[in-house]
Order: sequence, then C-alpha cells, then structure tokens
Amino acid sequence: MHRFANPARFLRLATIILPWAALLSVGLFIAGLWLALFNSPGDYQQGDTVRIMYIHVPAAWMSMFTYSSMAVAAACALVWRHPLAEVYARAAAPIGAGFTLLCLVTGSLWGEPMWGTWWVWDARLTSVLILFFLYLGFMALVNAFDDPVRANRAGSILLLVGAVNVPIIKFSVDWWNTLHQPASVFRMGGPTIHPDMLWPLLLMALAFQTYFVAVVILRMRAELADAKIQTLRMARASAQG
Amino acid sequence: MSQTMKEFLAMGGYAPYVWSSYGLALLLLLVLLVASVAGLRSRERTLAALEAANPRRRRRKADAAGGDGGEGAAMLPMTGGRGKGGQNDATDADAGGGE
Repeated sequence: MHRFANPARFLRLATIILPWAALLSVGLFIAGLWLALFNSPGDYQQGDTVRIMYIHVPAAWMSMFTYSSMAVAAACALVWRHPLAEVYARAAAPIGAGFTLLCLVTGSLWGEPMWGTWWVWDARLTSVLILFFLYLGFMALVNAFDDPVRANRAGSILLLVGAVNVPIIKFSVDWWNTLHQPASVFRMGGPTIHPDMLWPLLLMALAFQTYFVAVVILRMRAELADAKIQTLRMARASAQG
Repeated sequence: MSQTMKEFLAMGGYAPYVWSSYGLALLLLLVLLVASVAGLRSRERTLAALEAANPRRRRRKADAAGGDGGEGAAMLPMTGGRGKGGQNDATDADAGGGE
C-alpha cells in the first residue's frame, strides 16, 4: 500500500482507473436495471415489491463496505500515518452516508406494503440507523477543527470505535428476533434465492461498487486539491505577514 | 399506451413503492456525482488562480513536475550512464524502469 502513499503516483493511477470505473458502472447499471425491472420474476409472496431489493440490498452492502473500508483507512492513518488514508476516509464518507440513507428509505418503502409498517425499532433497522449517524458524526467531526491534523486524528478514532457496529449490523438478524429477514445471499450453504433474482442483484451490486470507485476518486482528487490550496494560502499569508 | 406498458408501470399495484425506490436511488446517485464533479472543478479553478497569482511557486512546481515526469524517462540514461559498460545499457535501463 505504501507504493501508493505518494499522492502524485495515486493521481496518475486514479486518472487511469476513473474512466474505466465510470464506463463499467454505466454498463452494469444498464444490464442490472434491465434484468431487475424487465427480465426477472416477481416474488410468489411479495409480488413486484421484490424489485425494491435490487436497490435496497446493494445499498445496504455498500453502506457496510464503505464504512469498513473507512475504518481500515483510519487504522492505516493512525498506525502508519499513511497520507492518503485520511483523504480516502473524508472522500468516502458522504457516499457511504448516501448509500445508508438509500438503504433506510427503500427499506421503509418495502416494509410498508410487506410488513405493514414504515419503521420498527428492531435490531437490524436500529443498527443501520446508528451507522447513518456514525457517517454524519464523522463528517461533522472532521469539519469541526481548524487544524486538519487534529481533525483527521479525531475522525479516525471515531471510525475505529464505530467499527464495532458493523458486525452488529451483519449478525443482528441472527442474534435477535427481528422483523427483518436473515441473510439469503452470503450465508453458509450458498444463496437461497433463485438465479433469476441473484443475477440482477449481483449486477446492481457491482454497478454500485464501480459507481463508488469512480465518485470516490473524484472526491479524493478534490480533497487533495483542497489540501494544496490550504498550503498555498498559508505560504502566501506567511510571505505577506 | 399499450397494455403491457401499463402493466409494467403498475408494478402489480405497488407502483408508488417500487418507483419511488428507483427514483430516489437515481436522484441520490446523480446528486452525489454532480456535487462531487462540481466540488472538484471549483477547487481546481481556485488552485489554478492561486498558482497564477504566485508565479515563483508555479515555477518551482513546474521544475518539480519536470523532475517527476523524468522518473521514467530521465532515469533510464542515468542508470545507463552509471552502468558498467555500453553494451549493458539496455538491460540496465530495463531493470531501472521495472524497479
């Protein structure tokens, strides 16, 4: 990873990856939406509401993936002082918050016709809501300090403490008796959903993932430019003063 | 509107739930993308203006960029020059380029 600690090298690599990720994301969204909306069956119990799954589940996976990757970045920042780790965490946070919000709202839109309620305070739903607040808390915290070094350190500690929530989300459906159904894709013994539904789900998940890669690169470039602007302003201020 | 189209849009009677889910996803992903591109553009503009206002810094940066770009190309003759002999130039350069 330290090969990519040099921002100049990262920027060169990012320039190569960005168009591919963007192109791949568009292609996967087209294929995934085609299968999800036109070419997959309704559920025998849930009818067409099952199509909400193709948004809800990828958004949920991405909300957890993004947070986990930010927590790993926070560890790299605190232990090895990897200069890009904090940049990554700051860049990824709004995207992760967006995915979590999407997961919560589509879950409500699915819950109302199928469970008869928009919201229940069950373990899965509550722990995902906490995840959303962790994202918001992180973004607020790193913007609350004037000194970027202290801001990033505080943010990294918050991310590591909040990481305890990730396994709680994952296993909440097994540990507690929840209204939310247990896992049906990543489980021992393989997926229990039909390939006609699994394919659109996986394509949409990959589309979300490649979208994330493209947007996080854009945001990291913006963060790096921001840091350069601060340095230039500081240099100018000290030259004049 | 054809019958199949109507049926498709009706989503088995769940149209409001299904379409608002997809609509929200589209909206959110687009807003994030547009905001990120706009944020990057505005920073790059600010950076360009700052660098233009500070020519000394810009020259230094240009030198750095020249040295940086030479990492691949300029290194090769250097490794070749440091090499043990003329006939080994090519292999030295390859080893240097491959790091």
